[in-house]
Amino acid sequence: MAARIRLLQMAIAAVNIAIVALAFTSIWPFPHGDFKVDLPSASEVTWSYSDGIVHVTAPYSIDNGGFYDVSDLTLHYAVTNYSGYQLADQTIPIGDIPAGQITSSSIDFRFDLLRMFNDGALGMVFSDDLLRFAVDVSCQYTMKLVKFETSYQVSVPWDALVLGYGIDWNQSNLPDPPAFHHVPPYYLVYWLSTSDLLSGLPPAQVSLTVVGTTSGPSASSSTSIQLGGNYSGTVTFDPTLLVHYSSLDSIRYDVQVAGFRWSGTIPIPEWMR
Amino acid sequence: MRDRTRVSDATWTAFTEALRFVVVPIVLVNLVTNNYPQLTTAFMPDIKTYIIFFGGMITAASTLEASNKPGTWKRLLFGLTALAFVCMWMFVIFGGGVAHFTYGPYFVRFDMSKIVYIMLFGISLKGLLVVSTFSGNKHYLEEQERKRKEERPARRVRARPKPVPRGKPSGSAFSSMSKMAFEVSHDDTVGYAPAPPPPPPQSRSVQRTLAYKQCPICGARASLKETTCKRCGAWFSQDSFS
Repeated sequence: MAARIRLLQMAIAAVNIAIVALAFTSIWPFPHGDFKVDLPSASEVTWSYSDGIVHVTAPYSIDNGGFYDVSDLTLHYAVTNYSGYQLADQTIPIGDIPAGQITSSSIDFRFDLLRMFNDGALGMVFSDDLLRFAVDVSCQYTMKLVKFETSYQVSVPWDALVLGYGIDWNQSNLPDPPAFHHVPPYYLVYWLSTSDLLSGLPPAQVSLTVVGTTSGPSASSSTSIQLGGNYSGTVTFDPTLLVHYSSLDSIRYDVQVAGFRWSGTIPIPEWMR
Repeated sequence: MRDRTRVSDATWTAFTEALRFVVVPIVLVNLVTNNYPQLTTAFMPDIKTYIIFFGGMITAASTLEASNKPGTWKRLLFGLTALAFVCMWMFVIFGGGVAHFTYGPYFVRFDMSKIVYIMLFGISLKGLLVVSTFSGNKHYLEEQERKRKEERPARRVRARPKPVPRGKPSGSAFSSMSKMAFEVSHDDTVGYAPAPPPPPPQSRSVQRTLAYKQCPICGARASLKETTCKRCGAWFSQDSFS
């Protein structure tokens, strides 16, 4: 009887030692840092823009330094702007990572900013925004006995594509009918400040029309302005058209920047008329 | 001696189990909650209460288990009860196997409930040991009980009161000078007869109070005043005369 009990004791002890070893080797890599999930920080997110499409990349890496293979690794991300508009939502099935290996890749997505703009979502073109990245990583470990899930949220600042625009009246010259003390040439200096993201893209097209009381056709002219910083352009008007004006009222503008097009009217200051 | 062992076993068990399941876990939980306040489990808000409750139950059940002999139903019952409480204690300590950790922008959920169930299975294997110890020792106890029952009548016989020592004879009778019975035969043969088998002490004590004497030759009863046996004519000893 004693031998039987001793045998049973040894068998139970062996099973329990195996279970403790299994539990220990399953848990230990996580607090010890052998299993690491490096998700992108705000500074690691890179942007590019082309033809109305914003391309975002954010690197990540998963280091399986544990004892067992990682299986069913899935990465899901969703990107929304400050107002809750969803820019991206995707699930990336990565698969398995053998023990001791590192998987590195990047979150890579695009969103059509031009379509958003045309749909009336002007915010990200003219205003700074805060894009919220929600990244979820899930995987199984230790022969699928352990499930590991991590969520990560980071807000990445978004700089407006068009930071500012307008007419520099101090450097402009327009006629002052009916006295016409200002002599030609007549021109307007238009400034445009755009995001660095637009560097290298074709220049912006700016068309200006003088609005006022005239006996002839309206005076219009256009210029192109470089993108990706603070640049200005000069719009020169035909003086023969401006002499028909008995009074000047405002300037109507029509701007096209990297596919985005908008228009408006700016009143001419009193001192300039 | 055996009872004292049970008491000391129970005391030692109470001490060690209280250390293992109440004191040390509370210290460890304090360390963890102080150093990692972001770590939460399902039972974390009241974890100390759970540890004290389940640890106390384990200690009590284990103490009662140790205070009973192996092979008794009580020991089996308390052994299995202690085991069940150990399983509950383990489940609570590990928060059912699900832990949450919040660190800055990171939120980590760690689900090892399957491993916890395997651990509970491993712990519950000890139940086999408890049952096996019970069944093995139960036969032994039954055998002991049977032997005890068999030996009981013999013990009763042995336990009868010892014979009262014979008192010192009074007077200076010749017979009192020897422990051997002094007889005078009917044919005047004087001497010591071989010692008859010692009569039971009770009968001897009763004989002193009898109102008759017995002929040592033929065994016939005679009055105390008689000097010779009426049946065989043998002389009675002198000290038998009243």
